[in-house]
Amino acid sequence: MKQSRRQLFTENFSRIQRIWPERRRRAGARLLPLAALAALLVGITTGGGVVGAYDAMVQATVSSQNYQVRDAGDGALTLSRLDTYLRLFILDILPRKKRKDGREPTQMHFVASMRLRADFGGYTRDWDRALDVDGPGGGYNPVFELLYAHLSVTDIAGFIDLKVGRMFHLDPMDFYGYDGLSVRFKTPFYVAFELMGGRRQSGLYNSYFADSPIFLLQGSDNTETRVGWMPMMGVAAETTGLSFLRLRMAYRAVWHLIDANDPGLGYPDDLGGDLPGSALNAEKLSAHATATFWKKRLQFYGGVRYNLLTSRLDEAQGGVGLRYGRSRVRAEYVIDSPDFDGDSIFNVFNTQAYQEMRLWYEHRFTARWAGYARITGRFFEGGASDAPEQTEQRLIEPDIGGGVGATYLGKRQTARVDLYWQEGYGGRTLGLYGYYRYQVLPGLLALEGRGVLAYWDDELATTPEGVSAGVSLGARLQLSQLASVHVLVEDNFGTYNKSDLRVYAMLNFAWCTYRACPAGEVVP
Amino acid sequence: MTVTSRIKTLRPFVMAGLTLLLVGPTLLAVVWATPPGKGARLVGTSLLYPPPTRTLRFSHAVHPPGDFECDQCHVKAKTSTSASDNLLPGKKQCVDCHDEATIPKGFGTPGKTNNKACKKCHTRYNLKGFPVASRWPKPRIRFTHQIHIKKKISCKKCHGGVGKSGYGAKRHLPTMAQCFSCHDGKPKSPASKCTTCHERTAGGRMRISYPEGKLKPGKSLPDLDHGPTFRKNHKTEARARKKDCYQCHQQATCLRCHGGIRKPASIHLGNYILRHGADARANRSRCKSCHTKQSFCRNCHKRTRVARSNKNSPYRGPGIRKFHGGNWSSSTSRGSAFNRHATHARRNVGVCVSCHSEKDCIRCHARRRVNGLGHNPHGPGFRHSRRCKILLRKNPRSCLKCHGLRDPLMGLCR
Repeated sequence: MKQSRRQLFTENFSRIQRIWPERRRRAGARLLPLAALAALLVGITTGGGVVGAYDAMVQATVSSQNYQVRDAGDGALTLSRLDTYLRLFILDILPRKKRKDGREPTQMHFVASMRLRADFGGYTRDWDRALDVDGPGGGYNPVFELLYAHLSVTDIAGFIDLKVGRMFHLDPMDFYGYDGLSVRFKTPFYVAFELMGGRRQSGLYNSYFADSPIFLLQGSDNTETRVGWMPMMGVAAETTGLSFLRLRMAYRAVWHLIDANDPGLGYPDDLGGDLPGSALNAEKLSAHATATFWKKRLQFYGGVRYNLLTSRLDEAQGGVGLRYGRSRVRAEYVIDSPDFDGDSIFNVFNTQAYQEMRLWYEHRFTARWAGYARITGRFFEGGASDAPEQTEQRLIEPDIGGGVGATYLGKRQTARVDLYWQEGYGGRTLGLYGYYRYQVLPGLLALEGRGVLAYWDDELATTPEGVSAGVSLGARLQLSQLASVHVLVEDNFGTYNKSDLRVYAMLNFAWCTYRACPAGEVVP
Repeated sequence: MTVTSRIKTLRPFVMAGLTLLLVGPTLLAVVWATPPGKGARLVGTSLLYPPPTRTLRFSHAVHPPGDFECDQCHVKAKTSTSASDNLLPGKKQCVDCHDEATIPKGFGTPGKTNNKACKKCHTRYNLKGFPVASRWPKPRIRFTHQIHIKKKISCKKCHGGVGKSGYGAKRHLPTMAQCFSCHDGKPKSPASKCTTCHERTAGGRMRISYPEGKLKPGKSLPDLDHGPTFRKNHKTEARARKKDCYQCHQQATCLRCHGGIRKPASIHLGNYILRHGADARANRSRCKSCHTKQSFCRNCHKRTRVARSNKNSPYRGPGIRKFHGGNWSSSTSRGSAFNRHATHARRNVGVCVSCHSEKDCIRCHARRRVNGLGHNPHGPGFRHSRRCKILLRKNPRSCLKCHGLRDPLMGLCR
């Protein structure tokens, strides 16, 4: 019997009434912790204030590239790589009110960046779980990474900045990522204090979503030994509000907690359960100063980072920069030691820092033309062992290099030419690079071309000596204010390759509220 | 390889190089000589003060500041709180001095005024004979005349020379250097953030992107000038002045290159993979500033069969092919002549770990009681050094890998 519309509606409505409370309960149970967390964050940071206005922007970048990699047996592997970046910005969440005393108003922002990358083709053979995240032995291997995601509240009560979430920290002598909290107190005496705490990211968990990989210290043992929580804390003091003088002193310590009974850690068998489960992984003290004089034309800077765990200098640098008329000169001296995490045996090796001196000169011929020349001298020490039979002399081997170049930055054209040379420890490299870009339709279509010619001589590598030349052509099309496409085709040929074609394409697009992307502003 | 065959091999590259050398400068010369097109991109101050379309005749020189006060004509300046306010004088201000009789008939009345008297002031007419209106695009800065006038800053301090010129032009507008003469970042000076004068976008950042181009730090910021070497030299500025960087850039800008998976064409030119070895050994490009993860190198070396950890590597097995050449490492003969690897490892052990793991080192350097060969990797005087004691106290794990628990040598450090 055919039901009338009214009967159907009544029947469905009563069914929904029966099911709905149950579904609502289930959904509520799932969302409750998230909602509570969000409410807590908003409540704490705003002190019960009302969310007034916000601007939002979502940016996505998809890039794909395809090229060949030569292997040690003269074979060629195809590498296809697809990366997708997704960035989210929620800005000015609190009402935009001006303070009566002229200070900056309290404001809240949320930013996040994540990426999905995947490799395809023959290059993915021998995918090693110990060296990277979980994946099948070859073939498609997608990796999802949460690079950073943090909520920041600025100028709370006019003097506190707060940041919570996953973030990376960049200061004059340090660079690392962590999940946690950062609080900055600004005093009226041109000094600010900073406290940081949380979990250091190591990039070694099975999921990069939980553990971003890009802020990891260089060089360590096989990755299994480093899996484990790495709590960290740091303090810093720095000058603030003085543009002619910047001073910063910072201290940070990272601990590493591991399961001492894990047999896969690679320690000798006789340790039993005596392996310390908790130990310092890094402890660093750093200081940096920058001072400018003579209307910012003269700049002095210098800094040191001392490793308290290994009791040695990690890095030191000092330099001076001078801008006079159209010329600019900079001289710099650097000492750089290899830097490892605390569990690595390389910390106790007789490794030596290298010393480097750099001199750069820049000149602006006209408003559009500029040129430069640089020279670099790097000195490597061999060092001697304390073993009595190794009476080796201290060897110092230089690596000297330099380059000259010119740039043109015009209204529609951009061009660059570089000639560079480097010789000494490591091998010899000589290269010529040219780049040209022309705005065919300004703001809409640009064409570009590159040319490279390089010669190298390396006594150790699988490709000891050769010449390589490459030509690339590209186009960038601005589809709209919020979308653009960039395509690049490159061919390289030389001693080891008759042809090595690389195709690269990138698509950028965005969505945003009006204030986040004002009319006419090109976003991607 | 004979000399002839080598010349034959190199000929295409020599030709390519010569072509690049000849074509490059020619192309640049052509570019330099080419006048910009109509839709040319603007840079610097032109971007902040877009060029106006002037269709009126006027001369400040015949209205010299000595005879006239600026605010006599620019009456709205005193109360103006925005740079986009129209401060040009209106009919009333002209009529105050110019007698009605001297003003042509029909002044200020829209219509066909293409007569001799009108042409005294109006310079451009459309096809129908109507005067074309002047266009004054809004400047892209934040500025309040009101506050500066209240602070008794004279007009000529910012608009110097305008009294001797015809029109007020871009050169009579204040430059950044002039702004910095007061907004100098010193204690008790007025605010000197970028967004004090520049337009701000959501999030409090400075707006740098406009349809006609992008703003870059110029000569007024000599310590931040994005010149030809800035890309290679930006480390010092980025670290010490990150707040200034974040005025224009986002964190994502850093990760565009430092994220370590995308090859920037301007840094790793051409087929860089083929020739990266020489640079990596001397750490010329500071590999770790982008490729922080050790497995970035190891994974690739394994897949390309360079690393011995790949069971199909041509370097695997005795006497097949030597990657490092002769006398690289010897477990029986000691001294630098037989163990060249020691010098290289001391200089940059970061290169060693691009293929090897700690296990490879432990095999020889561990004590005999934990299945090693007992070759000492420490420097002179290490066992009695403060460094040894501190490391053992704070993190003994690295020591335990080679020494085990009950090694009497460990006692020397304690």
